[in-house]
Amino acid sequence: MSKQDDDNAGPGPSGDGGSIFDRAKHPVKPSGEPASGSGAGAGAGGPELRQGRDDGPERLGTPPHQTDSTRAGSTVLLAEPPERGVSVRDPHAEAVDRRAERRAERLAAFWFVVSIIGTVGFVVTNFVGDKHKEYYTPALGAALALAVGGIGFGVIIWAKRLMPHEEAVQERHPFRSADEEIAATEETVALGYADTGLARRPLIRRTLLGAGTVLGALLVVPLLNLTNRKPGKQLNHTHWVKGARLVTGEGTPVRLGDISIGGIETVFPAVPVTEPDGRVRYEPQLTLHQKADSATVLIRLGPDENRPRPGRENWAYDGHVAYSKICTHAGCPVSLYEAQTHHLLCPCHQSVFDVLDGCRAIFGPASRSLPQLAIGVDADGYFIARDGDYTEPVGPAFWERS
Amino acid sequence: MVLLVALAATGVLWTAFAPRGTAEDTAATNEAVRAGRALYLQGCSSCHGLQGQGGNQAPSLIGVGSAAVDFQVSTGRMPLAAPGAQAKRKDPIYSQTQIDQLAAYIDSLGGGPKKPVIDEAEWDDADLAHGGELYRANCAQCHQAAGAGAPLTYGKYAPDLSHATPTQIIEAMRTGPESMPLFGPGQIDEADAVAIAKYVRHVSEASGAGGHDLGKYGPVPEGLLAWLVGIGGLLAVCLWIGARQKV
Repeated sequence: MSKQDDDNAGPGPSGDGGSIFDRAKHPVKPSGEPASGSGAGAGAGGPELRQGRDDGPERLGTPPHQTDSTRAGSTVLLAEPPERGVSVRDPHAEAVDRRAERRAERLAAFWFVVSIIGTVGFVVTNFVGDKHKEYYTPALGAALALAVGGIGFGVIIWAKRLMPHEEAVQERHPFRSADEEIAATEETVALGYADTGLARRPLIRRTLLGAGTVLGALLVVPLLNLTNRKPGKQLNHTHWVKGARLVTGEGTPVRLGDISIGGIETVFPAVPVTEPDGRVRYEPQLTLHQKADSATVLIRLGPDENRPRPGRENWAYDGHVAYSKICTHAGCPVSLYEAQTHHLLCPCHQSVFDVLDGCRAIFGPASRSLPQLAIGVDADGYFIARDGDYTEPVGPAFWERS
Repeated sequence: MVLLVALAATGVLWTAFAPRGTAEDTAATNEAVRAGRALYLQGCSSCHGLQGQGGNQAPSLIGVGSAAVDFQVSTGRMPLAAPGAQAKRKDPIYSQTQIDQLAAYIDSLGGGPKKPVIDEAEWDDADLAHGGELYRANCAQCHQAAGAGAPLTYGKYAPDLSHATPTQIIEAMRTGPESMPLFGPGQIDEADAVAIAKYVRHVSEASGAGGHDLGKYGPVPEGLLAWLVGIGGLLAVCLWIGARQKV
């Protein structure tokens, strides 16, 4: 630490101008002379140092008024405000009039009492109030507003109308370090570099530099990963297999006749598993991961309402049609079914699919039809995926989608 | 002796449990059908046809059943106030007795889903949590998670369920009014339907503490208002203080 620092630390409390707090406490001398006028601190040391700085003073706080405790000689102050340090502004009603002062005092006290009432009201509402009534939350909020706001208003009135109002100056040291400090730092750095011996040991210097460069190049590797990773085939197929039964989200298999005309059911695959004794068991695929790509809507249309696409004439069964529930736009579940218009609506971005026309996208951001699942009915009357999986990938488009 | 007691007991039990009053019931039904037909001819036939056969403005009512009549008329959707994208719920203009008479008449034209009767024990036994699961799986996509309703396409909408009675909720499932898909007993059995209705009533009656709750999302508008008006107001006050401050 150099002597420069000591200078910057500002004058001690002993100086005539004193610390900013000293000056704030005693803004004027009893005689009415400004506290830190040019004459007062001439020989004291502190003020000269500050005045010698090239950066200007910074004003602090709002310039307010005086109370009668500091009011002596205010007329002189008004005549000539001081150039630096603390100045006193126009006195206001409370400074001149004792009754106004009392009024301000009472007003501040009133707001503090309001705060007390608000706090008590908050506690009472919290314990006594009925949480399920409409008034509960607003009442808590209002009580808290009074509790906090009351203190705020009171403090503002106190500060604006009763506190002595002064303009204060805070000195600030220059931003640039002293020349000696800069030189010393430069010397330290140079010496430190010499101590490392890197200048004399090129082997260490070069290998370290090389290690740093290679480490930096590592940042490029994640970017390369983006270019060579492929999703593989997992996006191309779902958990539907040939002969899988259509089961509800609860695992109940859907039988022909369960769904009325105009009905809709979300179904998932239950894959057939042959037991050792030859019996076939159906294993519902209902984990989140399995549901995510296999969700399908089974809709029962009226007789002869469906207009199957060429080649899909036998994909429906007795008016029942099955389509992927996953929107081809962004993958949301398409499940808002308007039974009169036979439109499936996606809640995320309002894509609309026409169920009668192969779930063609007729409105909204989706551009591809929902994939259709060919269904049939097994010997026990249960719906099954007749041909196995969807013939095209379900859900939104992806890079390698063919 | 034992035989005598047994015979006597059988006789007593027979008188206690024998089907009674079939003739009176039929007569009452006939009376209701007649009264319902009078109401129908006066209030409904101009659109739905003199025999309930429908017309170019209104669907046929043959085979819709008493559940559809009770739903449409007791929710005030029928008679229709004005043609539009969708019939709106309003105060019913017929009394429940008249609605039952209308339902009896329409039912006599051809069977359909019957107006459900929920007894108290069934309601108490209904599994609320299971009803919630079924609601979220089958209803929430259109009617919103807490039954607040949501828009569909071209002015149609899934209505707010907070005013629907349990009977009306089940009737809507069974008859699929307007855009709504039909959920028959094969998909949702009687107990499940009651459980769903119980769940809808439960969420409708649940408290949404804190002012406007946006369909039980929570006090979002109040928070938004606090941010915009409150903080905006504080900023305005700051500007005002700065502008009027003499330096």
